[in-house]
Amino acid sequence: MSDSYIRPDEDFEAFYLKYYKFVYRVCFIYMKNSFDSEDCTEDVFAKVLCGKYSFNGENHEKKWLSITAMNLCKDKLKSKWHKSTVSLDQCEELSTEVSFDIDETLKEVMALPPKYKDVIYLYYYMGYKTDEIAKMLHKPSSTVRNHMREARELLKIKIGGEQK
Amino acid sequence: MTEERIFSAIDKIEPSKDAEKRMYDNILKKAKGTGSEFKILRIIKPAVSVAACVCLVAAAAVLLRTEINNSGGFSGAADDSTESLCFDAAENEAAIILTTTLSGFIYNEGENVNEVCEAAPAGNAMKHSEEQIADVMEDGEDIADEAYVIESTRHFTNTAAPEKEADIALTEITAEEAGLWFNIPEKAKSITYGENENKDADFQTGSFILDDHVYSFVVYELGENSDLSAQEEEFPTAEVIMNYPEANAVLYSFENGETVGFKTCWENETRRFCLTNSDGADKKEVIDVLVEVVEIN
Repeated sequence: MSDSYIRPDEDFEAFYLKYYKFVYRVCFIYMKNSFDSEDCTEDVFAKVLCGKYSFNGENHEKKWLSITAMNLCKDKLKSKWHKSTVSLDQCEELSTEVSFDIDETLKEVMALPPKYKDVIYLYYYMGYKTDEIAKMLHKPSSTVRNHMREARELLKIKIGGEQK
Repeated sequence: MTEERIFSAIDKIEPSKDAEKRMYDNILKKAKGTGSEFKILRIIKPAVSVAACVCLVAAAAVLLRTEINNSGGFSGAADDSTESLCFDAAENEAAIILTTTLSGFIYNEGENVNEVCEAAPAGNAMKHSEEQIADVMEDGEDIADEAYVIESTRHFTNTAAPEKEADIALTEITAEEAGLWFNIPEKAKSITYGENENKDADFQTGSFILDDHVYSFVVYELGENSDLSAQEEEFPTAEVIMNYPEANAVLYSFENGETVGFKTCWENETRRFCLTNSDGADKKEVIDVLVEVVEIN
């Protein structure tokens, strides 16, 4: 297997600088605010720093980071569920604290249930095929395709446009 | 909706300018302060049948959360033949049996682990590993064809079946990374997970032992087309014995031979949970467990 074992200090800083925005992007889609997104991003990289991970190339790094970030975020959201619920209204208020524009498309993507968000992100943003996504998420390909179809239908209803 | 719109919308997401350094400093602090908090879990994906299995027996201190020097453990990669490795438990830590199937592995920690180690020299563990599996699995339950051990990233690396993993390096992963749906009570032991797909619903099953009683759970994803009726077992003689309003949960008791069983189900916005005990835990114990799992799920 691999051979790009992330050593502390020198390698890690370079690794962080290369991927922190990438990981933040994943986290923001789930957490919907900058504070929690930064927290999750930090947790992902802390995990890299603490564990003896070895990656087999950039593609492997991105896959690992994506899935780890997604699962960490979903776990945090589960534990937050009984304490507070972040509504879309609250999301709009918090959005003034971010430095980018949250357009309607992004808003609707962020409003999707996690299982749809997973496939939409991995398919449309990361460019993975459904079979690859199925392996990454440990789900049957048929489930991934169903989720894709259902997610597209939801997005089509919300923001219109042609279904692809 | 086009692919480009979604891509562009996500691609615009950026952390604030001062976040780079702030996050980096926090990462270093978090990494420095991380203790060995992760649990070992077993995930089992049900399959049609098991044809053979490879048994690896390893000693670890996961449940007691003590670091061990595992440089001597897990040295052999498993293949489809029978192989058994026994390791002495480090200090007074519990030994753990790790059993690999053709596509992955499961593990079990139990009182008879040492017995297996003593009775099963290398190359002769097949019989014992099958017995172990029979003890671990419930009657009639399919054996996994894919399973993962979730371990602390500090403790051991799964070299059992790296070629069977997906593209992602699942050599050391935690519960979070495995996308588990049910948070287990802190003191639970012998935890198992399984993931199921059928035309009606996605669900995960599993069990854990708490205070010497086995609790089994099922978690379903809620969705428009989810039909959960086929998944949940009904108990015709069930009696409602309490309501847990915080989770809209009702605890049922039912006759289970000579013992009384308990079952409850509740939902959050995305999932439905059901928890069952049928090995004679008393009502107060079950209620305590119920309160804890509802709180953390």
